[in-house]
Amino acid sequence: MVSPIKQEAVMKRTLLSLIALGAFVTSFAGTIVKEVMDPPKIWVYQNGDRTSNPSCLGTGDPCATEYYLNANGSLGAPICDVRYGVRTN
Amino acid sequence: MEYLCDMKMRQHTVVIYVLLIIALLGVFAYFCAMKLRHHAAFEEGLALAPQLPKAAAPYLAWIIPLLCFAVSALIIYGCVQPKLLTLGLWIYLALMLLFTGFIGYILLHPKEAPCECLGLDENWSWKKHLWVNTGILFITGLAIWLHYKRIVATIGNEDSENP
Repeated sequence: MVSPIKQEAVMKRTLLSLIALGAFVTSFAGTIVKEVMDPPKIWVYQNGDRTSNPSCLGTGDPCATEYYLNANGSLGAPICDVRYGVRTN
Repeated sequence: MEYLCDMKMRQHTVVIYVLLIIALLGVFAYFCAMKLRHHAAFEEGLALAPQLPKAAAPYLAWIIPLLCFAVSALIIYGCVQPKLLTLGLWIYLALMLLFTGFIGYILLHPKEAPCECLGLDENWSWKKHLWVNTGILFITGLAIWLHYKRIVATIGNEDSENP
């Protein structure tokens, strides 16, 4: 026979577990939905080449800028914050 | 009266503890979602990182988010089994120390810096990553401390086992 105190403790722990699961699922799904809804972006090197992931290793200088990508494949507005828009890796 | 004050304080601490756990899970959920959604870019970024062997990149690109998933599952299930929660929180802390150490190394060796796509958010600078990671480390430490104060292990259960 399980005591009522023990039963209550199990119930509260289960509730806490469900809250934690809910938080994880909400955060995961929310991030995926936000990412899917976000307009596509593309990185463009100084010479005009496009890439999803620029490599500027060792240069120490800005070498690529990120742009929004229009539906027809042309470049849209640059993502204006220079600190974020240019990779100096 | 003293007993009532103690109860109220305890309830507040439980709420803080639950919020900390939710925040930690939220961070890993965000990280997993970002790394799985941008899996190709993450793998490329790992391959380009000079600190990591290039051949390991395809494996690491899966292992890192899956490990975060596993730790999150451990923490979620650990709410029912406090011993698993203890394990989950310590692994979480170890992973965060590893990630923060990696960022610290990058900031000390800027010439070898890989792209920010390896971090929590590809739009953050490595310096911002360091601040955010330090904050997460603090939150994890606080959650572990509260855990050892038996806050969750004893919710409504005064005779429960140690966490």
